[in-house]
Amino acid sequence: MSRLSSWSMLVLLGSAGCEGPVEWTAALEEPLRVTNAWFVPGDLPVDDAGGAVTSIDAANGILIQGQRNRVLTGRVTADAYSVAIRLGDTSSGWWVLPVADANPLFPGERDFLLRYDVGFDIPLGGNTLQLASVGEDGARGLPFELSVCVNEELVPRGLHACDPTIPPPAAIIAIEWDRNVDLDLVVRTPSNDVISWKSPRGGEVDGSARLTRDSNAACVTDGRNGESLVWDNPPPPGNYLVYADLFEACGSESVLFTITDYVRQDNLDGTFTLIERTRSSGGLLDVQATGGAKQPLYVTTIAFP
Amino acid sequence: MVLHWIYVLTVSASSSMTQGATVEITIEDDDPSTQAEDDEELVIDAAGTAPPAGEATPVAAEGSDPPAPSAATPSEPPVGEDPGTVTDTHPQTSPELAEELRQLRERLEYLERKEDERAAKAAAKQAIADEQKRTRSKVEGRPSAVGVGFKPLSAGSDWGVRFGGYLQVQYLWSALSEDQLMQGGTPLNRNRFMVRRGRLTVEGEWKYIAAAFQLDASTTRGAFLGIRQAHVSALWRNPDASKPPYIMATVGLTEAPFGYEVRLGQREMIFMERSTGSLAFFPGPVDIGLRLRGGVGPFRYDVAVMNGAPLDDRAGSGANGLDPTTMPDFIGRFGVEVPASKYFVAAGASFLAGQGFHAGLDATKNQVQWQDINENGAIDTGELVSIPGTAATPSETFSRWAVNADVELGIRSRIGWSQLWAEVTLGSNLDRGLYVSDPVEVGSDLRQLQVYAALIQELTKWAIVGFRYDFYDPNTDLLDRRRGVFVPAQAGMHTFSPLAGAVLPENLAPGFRGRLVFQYDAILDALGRDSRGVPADVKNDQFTVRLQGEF
Repeated sequence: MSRLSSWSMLVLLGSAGCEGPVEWTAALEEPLRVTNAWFVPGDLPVDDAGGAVTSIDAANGILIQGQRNRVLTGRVTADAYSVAIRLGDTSSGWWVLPVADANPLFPGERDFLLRYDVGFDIPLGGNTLQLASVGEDGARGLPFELSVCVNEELVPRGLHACDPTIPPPAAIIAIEWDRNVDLDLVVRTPSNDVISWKSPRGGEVDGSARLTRDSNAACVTDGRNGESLVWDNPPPPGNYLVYADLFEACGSESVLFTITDYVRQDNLDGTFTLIERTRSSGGLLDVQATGGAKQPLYVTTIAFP
Repeated sequence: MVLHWIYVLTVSASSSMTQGATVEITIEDDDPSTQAEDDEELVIDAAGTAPPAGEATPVAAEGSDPPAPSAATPSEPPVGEDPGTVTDTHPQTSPELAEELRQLRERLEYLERKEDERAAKAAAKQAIADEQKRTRSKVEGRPSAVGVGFKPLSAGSDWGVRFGGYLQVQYLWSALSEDQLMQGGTPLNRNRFMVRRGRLTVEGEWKYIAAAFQLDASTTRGAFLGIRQAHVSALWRNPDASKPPYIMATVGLTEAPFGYEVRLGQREMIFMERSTGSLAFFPGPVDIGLRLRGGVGPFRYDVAVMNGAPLDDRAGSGANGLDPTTMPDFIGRFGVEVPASKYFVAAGASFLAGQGFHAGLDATKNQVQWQDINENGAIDTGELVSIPGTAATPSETFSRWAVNADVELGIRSRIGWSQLWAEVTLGSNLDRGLYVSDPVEVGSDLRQLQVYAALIQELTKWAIVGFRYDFYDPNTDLLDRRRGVFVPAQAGMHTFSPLAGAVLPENLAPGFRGRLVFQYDAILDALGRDSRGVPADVKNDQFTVRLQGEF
């Protein structure tokens, strides 16, 4: 009887896979999230028999925090079972995806296509995408590395994020908030010009300023919950009054926000740094929604030299 | 001279209720000397100790002296008068008294008749109560597998309206839990306390009619209050109340007569939930329709015409329970049941035939979409594309069916009942709760297979242990694409569920029963992928502790 039970268990285990149970996780903390792929925590065993990645085709090498649906295609050797990808040492494991058919144009190779999202917590600056071929025994070959530059959207540094010799914007005032509400940044310049979603570039005097976006406009959630006012050139000196305008609460009872200002610093060695100067926080209740017709909440005054 | 004789007749019923009747008869008497002695009471009790109607002449109370005959009331009838007729010895009031006596006799006869009828009714009621008591003693202690589909009728309950219910509070731990949200905001965490079911039932049962209404309050998917039973039945009962009725026609929201688990009440179910396949076929055990069931001897039948849109047992929202197809489902089970005091055997075969629904798409408007082809986060030439609106697509229906066989066995030993039951179901396009079948989308029929076997062992009346093996394959024809080649793949899920629990017997706290049950579900499936991309078992075991209180 016990022998029969043992055989039954073996058959059941065999039908479910020989490697034992694998861990399931949404892996939302990972810097990369690959669509339709499986996340395997930790490193994979390395074996030259795992095959190799022979080609990678990417649109560009600049990743933006929170970017969705980036595409990476390529080819692996024909003995590969799956392709694995991770972001340098930032990832805590590998995403694996079965490879596709053999490519008739490249005999002995198989295609793969990866669609991935970029996490918001991914570190800024240079990094490395690693792709590896996985063989029949579950071991991976040596990784194929692709250098990438990670940038952010709220405080757009441009290529300065990866090359400090490229100057970042001269000044940035950014606002971020915690709920899906239509909150707007409003800045009154020393020339009494108001920059907001109604006039995103300000007047002629402050013409170099630009508002990056109207986040969650009309309660259409965009996933950013933040917007920023960017001066590519130094703003006119003086005091800038900063307001938070809750246009619509979108069903939320309250919202907490933070306003930060950054300025460019010349390091006098050919490199630049974007430094954070001040940070102010506050909150608004849904009853304080203005609909754009009332006085917004004054938060702070920022002085630019 | 006027003589007042007052007769007070009191009739006491044998039941707790007391009814009385008072007859006052006033008889004129010319002799004032007898007036004080003539106020008499005649008491007739329910035991029939009243004097016969013919003797209902005014007499003094027991122990007192009879009224002294006056000169006008001789003890012998006068010569020449008929001694056979009741005559008053009072020459002047004789006709009136005779009339009064006649009326009195009639009233007494009437009251005695009524009393006899009441006594007969009380005896009949007592006989029913005795029979129900005998029935109760027959079914008490029987395992839940006996009489499934006919409860509470076979429980020998008293006729009339009664209230009841039960509460299931549990803590669930799942290996899948994670402190994250799914797309849409649903928490991935499953480790939590919850009120799985809170049922309140009002049932009415009479000789030819029965009805039930049950509400469910739970927090399974957030706070929820909904209906779980609402039906009225007309029935022709078996004289032996421990057996199911010959015919019972039910309309309303009631269990779908398919297999064993679906018909088994959630209250009686020892395992936490129905088996995986049963939950996939019937997201909830109840549906709305017409159901006809009954039993003759060991044979049982249970057939129904239902909407085919079972109410989800795990609370509901949206179109839960709304049937999108015009054609109903035809469901039924035919079986045998042989209950005895120390064993029982039951088995049955079930069928289901119905129609599924493939929802069409709404019409859409024109849209402009940005495709960030070069992935630079900015709109460049050629990245704005127009998406023309589309016309609505029609919905389609498809046929679905299933056949099922079930068997239930039980034997009573010195340590308690041992119960074993098993089911096997073959289905086509019937998955409505897990991998919802849509052959229109897939292009071919989806076949399902469900098998399970469960064992429950009572350990005295205080504890139970059990084990269930459950297998469900939502698509027996599944293919997996591996390195560009389609290969047969396993979609089956094996669940091994050991169980142990403590039971609070019925007699300990009158009117209340309870149990505390621990169950671990070890699940073997192919829902994950290993590093090769090959389907693999995923860590999704779970553990549940449930406290159930019944009243």
